Amino acid sequence: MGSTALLKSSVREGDAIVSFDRVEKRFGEFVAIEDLSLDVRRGEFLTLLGPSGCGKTTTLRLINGFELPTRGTVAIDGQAVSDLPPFKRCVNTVFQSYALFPHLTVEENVAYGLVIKRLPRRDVESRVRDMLERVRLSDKAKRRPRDLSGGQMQRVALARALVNEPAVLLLDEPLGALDAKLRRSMQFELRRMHQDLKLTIVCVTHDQEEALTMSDRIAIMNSGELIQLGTPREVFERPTCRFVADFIGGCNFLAGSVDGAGVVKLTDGIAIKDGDSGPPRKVTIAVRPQNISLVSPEATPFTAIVRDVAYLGTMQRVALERGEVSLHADCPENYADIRPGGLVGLKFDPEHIALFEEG
Amino acid sequence: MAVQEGLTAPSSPERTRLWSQTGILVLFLGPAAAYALIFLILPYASVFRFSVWAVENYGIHQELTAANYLRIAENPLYRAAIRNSLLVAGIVTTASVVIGYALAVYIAFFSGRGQSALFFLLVIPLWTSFLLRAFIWRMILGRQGILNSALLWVGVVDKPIDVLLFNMFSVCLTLTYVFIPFVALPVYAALEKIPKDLIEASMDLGGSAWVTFRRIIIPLSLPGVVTGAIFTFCLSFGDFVTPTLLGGPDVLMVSSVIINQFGASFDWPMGSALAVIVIVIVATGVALATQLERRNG
Repeated sequence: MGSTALLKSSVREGDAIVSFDRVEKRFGEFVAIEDLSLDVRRGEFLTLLGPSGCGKTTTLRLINGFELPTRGTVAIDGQAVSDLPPFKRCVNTVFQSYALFPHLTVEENVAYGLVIKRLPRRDVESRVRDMLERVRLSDKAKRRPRDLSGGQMQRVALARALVNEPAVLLLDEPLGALDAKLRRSMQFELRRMHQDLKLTIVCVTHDQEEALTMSDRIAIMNSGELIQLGTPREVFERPTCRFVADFIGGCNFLAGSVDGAGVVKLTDGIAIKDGDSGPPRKVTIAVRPQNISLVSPEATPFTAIVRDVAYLGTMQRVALERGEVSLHADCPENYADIRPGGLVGLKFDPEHIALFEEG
Repeated sequence: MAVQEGLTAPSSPERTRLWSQTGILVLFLGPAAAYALIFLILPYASVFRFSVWAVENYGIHQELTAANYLRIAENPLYRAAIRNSLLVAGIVTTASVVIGYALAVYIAFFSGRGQSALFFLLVIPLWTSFLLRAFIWRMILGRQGILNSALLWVGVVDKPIDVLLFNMFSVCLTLTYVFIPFVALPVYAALEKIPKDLIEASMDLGGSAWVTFRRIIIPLSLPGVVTGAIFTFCLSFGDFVTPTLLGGPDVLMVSSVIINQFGASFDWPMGSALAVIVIVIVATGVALATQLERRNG
């Protein structure tokens, strides 16, 4: 058991291309990042996910060097980079605003990094040509950024970073400015490039769908702290705290307790589940909207009043009221008649319930 | 019948709307057009008309002739005046652009908390008269001026030196001092407008501070440089006050000659011909600068 753990950790260390070791970042009194230890593995697509102000962008800027840690070390490829300025780091960034140089053509934008490294002209030309082909912008090579659409600018920014063959590609809210349809197709395109080019990508986003679609692992952050790190499936199905459950996928929370016999009860005494092995305590019972089924109010003691029904195309979202508590349930569209003001019964599989300790 | 009427004759509310549209156009564009006509087109036309007439027997002979232009081409004095003006304007523009640019970069990127104070100090001199600012340099550069006193006190020289005032140097120095804000202000505005993430993008792609400055900051601030350079070139080329106050007899500039033609010499056609040449030179300069900016933008 001990030796397996040791083996695992040593493998992970050898694998890390970027590692944060007990990093803290303050801006004056404000603590942007608190005691962050995190390894980015070679070849993975890691997403930093969290609400605005959670420290995810600061984390990214500690990698590309635009911020320096107040305490702790950041290492890239095994080398501590605290005294390396941004232009000496082997990482490249796709900025949220794309930050394309307006006075240069598409081609010149993409060539920028290679030209200032004084690569032979022929190499620059062929690599730029290949990269523009890869992002399907060969016909726009001579255009200026202002003549491009949002999606095209995004692809130029991507090409401009990738042509330098960075050890890590950093994406700062890369799809934020695109419309929903384009965003979805770019999610898959980024995913495909990640696999084709065997890239290591660190991506910052506040969009949980984006994170779930693209990532190998997701690091969920809140108020400067890393809350949970895991695969999309892990963070979605086994959230370790209320914040993660709510932020990814959305969740209903009910106050309850576990009694001496291991029965989980709501505060009004309705038993939800039994067989809990922990000690008696107060808990928060979490259940996702899609895991609640609506049944006849006679079938269960757990009832609620329908407040509103919203049509979402493939399903309907039902807003429910149970005393002081608001709940949401997602049901198939063809579900029995649910009218605002009516009473319904709520059922859910005990398997789909998560318990979080109070406080 | 009623339908047909509606089709042929425009209804009265429609007619009112048409009228009010014309009214609004006249109201808004009328004053601008009148201004352009009275203060731009007519004066230029008048100057050009005078320049192709000539003075005969102390009166202006209103007959088409190229005599004035031919005289300018032949007379070394006029040619020297134009050459001097070009030289002064060239030196002043170059010096103002270099110093004004450096100043703008300092205020925009390196002044930190003092930024607004420095900006304020840069603008304050523009509130005082141009004449005063030129005159002050006489007090600084003269035989009993501050500079000579300082040099004497330090012991660098043992008697006041004359090379400071009443020559090309004093004219260029004064004009450069006057026009530095004219360059620094538009350059500062252009620098402030450069998004910070473009600078970060350049550094992210491997550009050092110097590379970023040369490849990103300078090209993107070029519109400000062109604006400032045009101001400086036009105004210093045609300046009359500074050469009169600080120029001395060696520095004959074209504006002094023109004023002389309209005043003492009473040769309005000659003065107008010189003015036309000044306009052509300045307009050519502006056109070239604009072209340069467009090619880069």
